[in-house]
Amino acid sequence: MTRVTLKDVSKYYGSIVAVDHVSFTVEKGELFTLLGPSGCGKTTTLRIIAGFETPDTGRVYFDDDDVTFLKPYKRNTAMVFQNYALWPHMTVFDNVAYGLRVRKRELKLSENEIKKRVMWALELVKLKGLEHRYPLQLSGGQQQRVALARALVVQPRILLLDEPLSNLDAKLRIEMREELKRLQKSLGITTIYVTHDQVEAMSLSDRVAIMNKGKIIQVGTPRDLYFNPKNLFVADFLGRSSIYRGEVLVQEGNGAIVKLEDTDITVRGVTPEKTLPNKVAVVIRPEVMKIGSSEDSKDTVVKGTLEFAMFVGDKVEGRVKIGNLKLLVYLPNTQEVRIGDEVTLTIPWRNTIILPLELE
Amino acid sequence: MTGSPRAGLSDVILASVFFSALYMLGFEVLTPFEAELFAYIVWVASFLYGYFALLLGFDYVRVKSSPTLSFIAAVLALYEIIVIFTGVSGVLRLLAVAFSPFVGLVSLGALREWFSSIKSQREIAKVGFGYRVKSAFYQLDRTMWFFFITGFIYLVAFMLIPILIVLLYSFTPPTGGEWWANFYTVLRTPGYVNLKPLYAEPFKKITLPSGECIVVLRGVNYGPVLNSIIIAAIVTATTTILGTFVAFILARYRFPGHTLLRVLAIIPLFNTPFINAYVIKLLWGEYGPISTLLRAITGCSLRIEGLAGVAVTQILSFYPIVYLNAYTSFINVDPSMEEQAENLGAKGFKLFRSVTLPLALPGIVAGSILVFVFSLEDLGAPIVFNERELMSYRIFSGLTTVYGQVSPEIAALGIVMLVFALIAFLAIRNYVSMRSYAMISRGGRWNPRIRRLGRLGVVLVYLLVFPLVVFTALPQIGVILMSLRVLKPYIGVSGLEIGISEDPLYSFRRILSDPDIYKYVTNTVIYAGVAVVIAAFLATCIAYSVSRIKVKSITSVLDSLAVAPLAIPGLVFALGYYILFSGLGRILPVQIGARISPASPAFEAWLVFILAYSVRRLPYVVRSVFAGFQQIHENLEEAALNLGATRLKMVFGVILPLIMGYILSGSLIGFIYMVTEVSTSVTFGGIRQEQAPLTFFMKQYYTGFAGLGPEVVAAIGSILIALQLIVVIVIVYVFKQRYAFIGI
Ligand SMILES: Nc1ncnc2c1ncn2[C@@H]1O[C@H](COP(=O)(O)OP(=O)(O)O)[C@@H](O)[C@H]1O
Ligand SMILES: [Mg+2]
Repeated sequence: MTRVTLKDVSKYYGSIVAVDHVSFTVEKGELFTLLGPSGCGKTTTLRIIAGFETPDTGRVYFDDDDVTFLKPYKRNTAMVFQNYALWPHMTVFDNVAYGLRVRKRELKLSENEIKKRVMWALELVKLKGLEHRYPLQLSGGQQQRVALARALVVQPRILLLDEPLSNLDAKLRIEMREELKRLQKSLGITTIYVTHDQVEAMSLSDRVAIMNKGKIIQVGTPRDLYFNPKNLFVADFLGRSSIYRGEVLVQEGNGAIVKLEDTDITVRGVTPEKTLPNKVAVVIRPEVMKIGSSEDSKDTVVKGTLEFAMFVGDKVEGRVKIGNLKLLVYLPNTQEVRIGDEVTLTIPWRNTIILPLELE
Repeated sequence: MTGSPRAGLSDVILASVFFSALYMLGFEVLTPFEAELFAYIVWVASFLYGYFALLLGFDYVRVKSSPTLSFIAAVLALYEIIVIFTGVSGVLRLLAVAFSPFVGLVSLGALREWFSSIKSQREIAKVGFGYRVKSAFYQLDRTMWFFFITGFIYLVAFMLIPILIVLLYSFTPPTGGEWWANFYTVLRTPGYVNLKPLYAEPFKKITLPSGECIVVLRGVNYGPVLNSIIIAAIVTATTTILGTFVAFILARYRFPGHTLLRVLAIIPLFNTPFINAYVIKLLWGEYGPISTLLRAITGCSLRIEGLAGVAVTQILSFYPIVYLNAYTSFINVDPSMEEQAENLGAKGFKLFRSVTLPLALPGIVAGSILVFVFSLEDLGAPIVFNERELMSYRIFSGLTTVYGQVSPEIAALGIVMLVFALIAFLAIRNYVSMRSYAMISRGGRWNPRIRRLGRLGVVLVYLLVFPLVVFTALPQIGVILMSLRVLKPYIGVSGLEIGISEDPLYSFRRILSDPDIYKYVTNTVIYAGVAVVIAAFLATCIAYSVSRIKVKSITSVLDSLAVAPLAIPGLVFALGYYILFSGLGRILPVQIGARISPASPAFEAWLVFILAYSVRRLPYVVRSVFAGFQQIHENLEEAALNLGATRLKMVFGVILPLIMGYILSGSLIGFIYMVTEVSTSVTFGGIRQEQAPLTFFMKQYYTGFAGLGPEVVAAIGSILIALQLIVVIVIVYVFKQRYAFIGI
């Protein structure tokens, strides 16, 4: 198992800053995800780790070895490309066996052993029996598995996955997500995963790094990021939320009381900042709100009318109007609601996040 | 928008009028000597006006982004350069003065933009020097180095050095002359540039005592340098208009007979050196069908000779190059762009002029520029029409008459030809690469816009386009008929004779049985075979390094070197090899020197043929292979490197199998063009006849020398046509690629 460290890595394409002084460490056996909107530099970062690009500043380490200028074929990483990059003129078997065959002598493998290991990998991804097909004869999900088997069969130090599920349909994606997680844990390979899908990132990862415009904004466990976003970008990017401008009345430690703009509502919330500026943003996630009033006197209780409701299956999404304020809420799908209903809501202070207005 | 006054096109036109008036005024009021001086001052001033206009805020970007304006700029700049070089005066120079504010504006604007881009690049380069060097070397692993260096060295050794040697040699003055004396001779003496021709009428009417009347179309002799340029310009312009017209009709309209017309339209592309021009000479001669038709209508027959004959031959042979490019360009124009314009009310010719043509223009002129170079270097038509007043013929005779010695004057002429070809080529290449947006419609496999033709249109097509296309295909058809001994090769008493022969396959049998002809055929096959293998290997090296090394400064040099052979006239290669090998022959030890020096009887001419073929036809192979690499997603390579394959293993295991089709089809095209190569084959073939290739044989015998008639040469021509037809079919139907010249 290998630890991966990036120190101050940047990459420029002409005037575009694709990766901007990025540093992070991926621990042994960890599944680490780079999450960010498209074009933020995730793929470029991954390509630097694989050795397809060299950084313009900074260094890359595998354990304690500086691999910044090591050739890709000497790094023993295995990458699953977004487009799978299966060789169309080779069968599934030949595709998967390629990595073993080119290093046959080095690894002292006989053709028999290669066969055994290829079958092991194909079994791992549940593709046994398809080894003589050509990639174009396979479905998207199957191609994806071949790409995965091709990467796993060489028993890489580091597994690199670039949006591996983005070309699959929704149902298959969830299935593969679970399978990936299972495989990664059972094989214990250090894995770096790239995606723009926050649900995927949250459900798979040990830790997630949020990227924007080439920079790492925040690194942490999914739970940590979700509940303790460092700034408004992270808070806005992860999950859905209602965000309001407000004015700080009191700040004490990591708590603060804020008066929401254009209303006479004050809410209490928590903040990662030591000292908040006067004008702030208040982030309230729909699923933390409770219907009805609360015992905790620090929570804010508001009353309003249901202005809009939409049945989405597992819940009802609604908008509650409280004076000038509109609040996104999730209601249980068993509850019959009508527009115009009176609703009492509790905004729990522990889950109300107060952040500076700047995005970064 | 700021309220400051901005200079516009009308200001530039005003400046043109002003400077032209000033120029003419000078000749009215000043002494001839002063006027001449003044003329140059006005000229320079009008050029510099361009910078003034830029300072006044003329929107250079507008010219750059308008396909039409920038194309006009490129052509005018070329005109300007030709006038400067040849030193013509009078109206032609006045025109140059009139164009120069615009040319100055564009060239200075481009220069300014280039400088500022360098500056801004320097500003954004935050990358440390060490990282830049390391990353350059990172991409250049051993395999990459090998690929890059191999391609580079071959091109430097067998293209660049020979040409530099010609250049050097051209500056060897005759005894007592200045160092530039040869260029003075070539550009300023009436033997080469003659502004006061003896007969200034391009054609004249002769009435014979018998009352018969003949119109003789000859052209005007302005000396070889100007003649070549004028013919190249006429041929380029005519083929461009003709090719674009036919391509547009075929690309956009469907009518009965469409497929037949498409097939007929590429027939003239089939290259049959010498015999093709010979047939054209028959068909366009006094007793040919065209003349006969004219006599029936007007009472006068037509005879086409000399320069005019060369021009007609070249137009007929080169027009499919433009046609193929234009056809592909029209197909590639995004239909939604036309639909959008139509939606906004543009129709008919306006739609064509305002949307379709500008979008297709880069592809079209990419073909035109090849025609320009081909016309300059063409040797077949001048030899057949015995037209010595052309640069190509002069260089050819300079190379073949005095054995063992080429005069530096001829070298200077070669350099002049090269400079014209190169400048035109670079201007157009720059223009094309700048606006390839319309061409590179990535993966754009849309259905091109096709309309049915109205009744009037169909009549027009049958009356105009069909005869035109059949007409251009006549020479090849004539060659086939002659090889089958249907068309008689000589003018009989009653004109051109046609009749079924009792033994139509005689000429073909002759080819198979004659050991002499057999020798020429095997020579050609061996030379072209070896050369094409070399070219395919080099092309793979070059195309791979150019498409994968991301250090722009390195790849652009190699890329330019690899397309350069398209812009270098074959005769310049011949000159280069001749002078280089003569020099080497003198330097090297006698045993080797004797086999390398063209002056020696033991000269190994095959070496020159293989080198010349492989270098001259390299661009065709490179382009095809390059297209292959562009089709392959880089991820496919990276996946292999990632799994532990070194680049060498990756290239052989993964990439080559994937692009084999492209390598093969590029090689096929290269092979065809090698087999039909004329310039070096004919010059060096004459030096060592037993090692000469087929085209040399065709040149020697197309007139029927030594009992071998034109019919035998025509039979070889027919075989070449068949060969080329097979190649086209294989490329289109087996490799599923387009057969076009696009992408200079
Ligand atoms: N080879 C390249 N040349 C130029 N720009 C590039 C190249 N690769 C990536 N970029 C640019 O770098 C930025 C980051 O790209 P990428 O890493 O692919 O983003 P992501 O994977 O997060 O969507 C983008 O603006 C992209 O346009
Ligand atoms: Mg990406």
